[in-house]
Amino acid sequence: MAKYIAKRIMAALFTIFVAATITFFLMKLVPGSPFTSEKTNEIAQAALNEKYGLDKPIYVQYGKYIGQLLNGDLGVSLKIQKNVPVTKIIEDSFPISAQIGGLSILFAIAFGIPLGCIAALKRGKWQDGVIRVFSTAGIAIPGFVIATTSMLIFSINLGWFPTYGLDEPSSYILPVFTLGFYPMCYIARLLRSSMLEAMGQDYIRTAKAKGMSVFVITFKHAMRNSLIPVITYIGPLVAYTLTGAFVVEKVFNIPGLGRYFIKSIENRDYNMIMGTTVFLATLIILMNLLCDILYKIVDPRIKLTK
Amino acid sequence: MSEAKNKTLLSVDSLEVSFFTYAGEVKAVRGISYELEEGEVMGIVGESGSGKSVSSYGLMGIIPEPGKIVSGSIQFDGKEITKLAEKEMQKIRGKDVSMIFQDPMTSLNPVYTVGNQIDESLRKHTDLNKQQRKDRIIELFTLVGINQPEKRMNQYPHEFSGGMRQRVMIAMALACNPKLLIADEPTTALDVTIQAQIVELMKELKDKINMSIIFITHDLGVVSEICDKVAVMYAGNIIERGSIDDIFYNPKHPYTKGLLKSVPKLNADDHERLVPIEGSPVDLINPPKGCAFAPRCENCMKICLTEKPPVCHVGENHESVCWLNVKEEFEKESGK
Amino acid sequence: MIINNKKLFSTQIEVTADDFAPASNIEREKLTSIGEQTSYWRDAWRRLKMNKIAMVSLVVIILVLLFAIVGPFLSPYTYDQQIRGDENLTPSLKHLFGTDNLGRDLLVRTMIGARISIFIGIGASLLVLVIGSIYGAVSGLIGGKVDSFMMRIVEIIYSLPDMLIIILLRIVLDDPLTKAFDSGNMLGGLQVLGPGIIAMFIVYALLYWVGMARIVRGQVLQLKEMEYVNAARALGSNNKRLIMKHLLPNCIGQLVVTTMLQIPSVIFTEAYLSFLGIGVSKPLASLGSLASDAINGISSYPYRLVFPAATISIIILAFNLFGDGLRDALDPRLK
Repeated sequence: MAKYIAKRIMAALFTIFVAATITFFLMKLVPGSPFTSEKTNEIAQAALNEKYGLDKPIYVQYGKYIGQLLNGDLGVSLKIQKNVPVTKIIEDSFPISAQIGGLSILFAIAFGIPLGCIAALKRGKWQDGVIRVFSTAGIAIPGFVIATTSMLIFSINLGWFPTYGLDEPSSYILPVFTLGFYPMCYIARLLRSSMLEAMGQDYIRTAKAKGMSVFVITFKHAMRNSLIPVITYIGPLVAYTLTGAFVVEKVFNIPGLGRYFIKSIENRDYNMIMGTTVFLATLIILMNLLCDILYKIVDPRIKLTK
Repeated sequence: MSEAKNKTLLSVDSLEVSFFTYAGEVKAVRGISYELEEGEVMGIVGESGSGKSVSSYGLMGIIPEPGKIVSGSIQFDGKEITKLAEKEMQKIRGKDVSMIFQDPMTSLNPVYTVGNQIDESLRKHTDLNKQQRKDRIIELFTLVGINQPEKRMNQYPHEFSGGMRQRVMIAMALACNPKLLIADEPTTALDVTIQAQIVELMKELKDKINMSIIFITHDLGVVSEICDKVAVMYAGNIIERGSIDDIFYNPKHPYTKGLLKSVPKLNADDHERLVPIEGSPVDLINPPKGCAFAPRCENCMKICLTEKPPVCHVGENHESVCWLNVKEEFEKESGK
Repeated sequence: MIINNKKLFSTQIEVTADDFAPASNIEREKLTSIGEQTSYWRDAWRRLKMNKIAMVSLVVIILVLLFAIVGPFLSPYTYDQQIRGDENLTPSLKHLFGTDNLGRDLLVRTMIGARISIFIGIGASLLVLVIGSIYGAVSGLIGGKVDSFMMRIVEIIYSLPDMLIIILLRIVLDDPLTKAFDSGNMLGGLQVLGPGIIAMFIVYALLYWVGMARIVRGQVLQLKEMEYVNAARALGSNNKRLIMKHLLPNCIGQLVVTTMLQIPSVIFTEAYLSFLGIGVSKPLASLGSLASDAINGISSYPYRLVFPAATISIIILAFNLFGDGLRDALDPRLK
């Protein structure tokens, strides 16, 4: 087990390194320096390039970049908040995104699991039908459509919730709902199918033959096995909420990292794009790692194999 | 057989089980009847799809969806099981009737320890406290031949070999001293040497504990080793039943004869050839009007195609469901 | 004659001598009406036809394709035609989906948008299919160290956060592609597509093939195994039949299903990128960019969002459901 975890950690670190390297070289592919689009003269540009080390050969820049990364330095924003360190922007804005993201994940799990359970238990009945139609539609509608329509209906037409910002507790509801909607539907579908699969297993028949109640069979024997696919989904789920946050924060005008990221894309603030990408990529890879390890703990079968 | 008549534990009468699929109603069990006394071991023999497993799931009330008992009655220990509510059934399952399944690899839940899985049955059906339950599990493990019971009970199924898992399954089935044990092809999925060990264990247990056993198998060899009587099933019907001697030395139904011919014998005098039964089983959605075995039967007669054969009492406690028996009688009477 | 032997039978039985005449083989065979032997594909098609949801989805897909491909030819307007005096109209008989602030007909724009979205979806999925199949097949066939190295690469790409890299690639590719287009260096056919779509294809070609590669490699390994087993059994004559009958359908089935389910996922991603402002290049419009354009005037002109958003959802839903149905039909074991 320890050996497996060590191996996984090494692999994750390597992936982070690859992600950082790809990010760096992709950014260098962009022709010209980040300052060419600005209306500055050549001398000023050269000065700026020198100041940020952009005049050096690429391998020197790469070495410096990796060195800075290891020190947790992501450089400074070049445009959206001029000269403010990217880490500072992340520090300020990420907690907001994390809050929304965390709540959405909780929302998705808290509603997705019961929905999936009900659908599986009531297989073929009307409850199953309603949940299936609902959840299948849910994964087909793009996030920004859900974001804007729910804002249109609940904030603008009905006036129940604020349209933007996060000033009141009620203003969390729509962003969390929007961001958690897709994963909720996904979890419901995933759990339904894995639960039905588990219910058809021989050990369920054994449990029935022992006289176990429907409750014990469902929640002790079937549930634990069918939750395993849901756990493997947590990694992609985190990735989804982090990137999905771009849309939600843009629509609801929430000052999270996502909105800054969009802004930096719109303004081609390369340092900011690079920094945010590396930060989010690291986070996603680490979450995947965590979820991998968790998966091994939940499923005792795997301990021996590997 | 000459002992004083024991109390009847189980009596199945005209049991019919169907699966309601999209393709139509699959009549898996089409009216079977038999009785089982206390302490008696009955074998149910038949090929796959003959309804032998499904009929026993009916006894447990665990017929998988979309199957249902269509008609008939099951009297167990004086109670009509088919009319019991699910809650009542749960009290009987695992306590009075328990079951061992074919594949020990998949029949245990992989994410719980084997001890936990036996304990849950004891917790449900007995008043034993934690320590007593633990002692009982150790006792059961010793009984079924699992060494180091205290260590083994805290292990997961994947840490056991196939044969050992089947022993765990047997221990689990015996946990609450059931009156009836249904063994559904308990040796099929195991290696030959392990099969022999499990059969040996079942024989031992049969002598140690006075319980009735229904032994479902397609292996006639195993049947002859542990059963008192046998029912042969074909296409959802019992086509012949009788004592071990009746079936092995005086088979009346062509299918039973065919089955016996297709089993290799170690003590064969001459170079007997194994004879396979030609053809494949019938479609249970539209079962034939007459005898279900007719298409594969070498003695098939005209009446077999159109009329269901009657139950013929060809001996004491020996029944054969075949027109050939009628033919014999017909020839006797008309020749008179 | 009536047989009434109480000892033997519980009921009276009436029989004649003729009843006990042996039945002819023909009579016996009539009983076993063996269902006609069906091929894998015909069987799959039969199962698919029985799946109502999948069939409805198939009809919807065909309708959407007609809407997207034939539709624009039937419209009196073109997608970039600005009709003076018809700005900001709500849906009416003249403009069924209304018009935008430049007086462009939204029906024809939605049709074109659907065309672009489906084009990207199918095009990128085919690209993924080709690249993934080649990579997977090569890796599986060579085997050994090359295989494990190639699979290590797949593993790394697999564990990269794809959406982030897609955004990054899309941004990076924007400038060079636009320049190349402006200078007219590109092939004539590609000129029409605009840098946005090309960038999208490159992104998919670089990232999304890994799943496909894994599947193909698995199948190739299985195939190699089969050949080996067969050689050992010296049943050379059956080899071809075995591969034709079991492996190929299995492999093709899986590829078809994966590609089919890839299409909606590509369209979904395209919509997401469009919303972030890095989708297809103007003046072309995809469903995603139409929907995201509509968001600015959402409170006054909600219909502008409704039509493209509904179309996109219907397309994704139909492809997803049809893909699911196809998987069930092609692989009965999964049911």
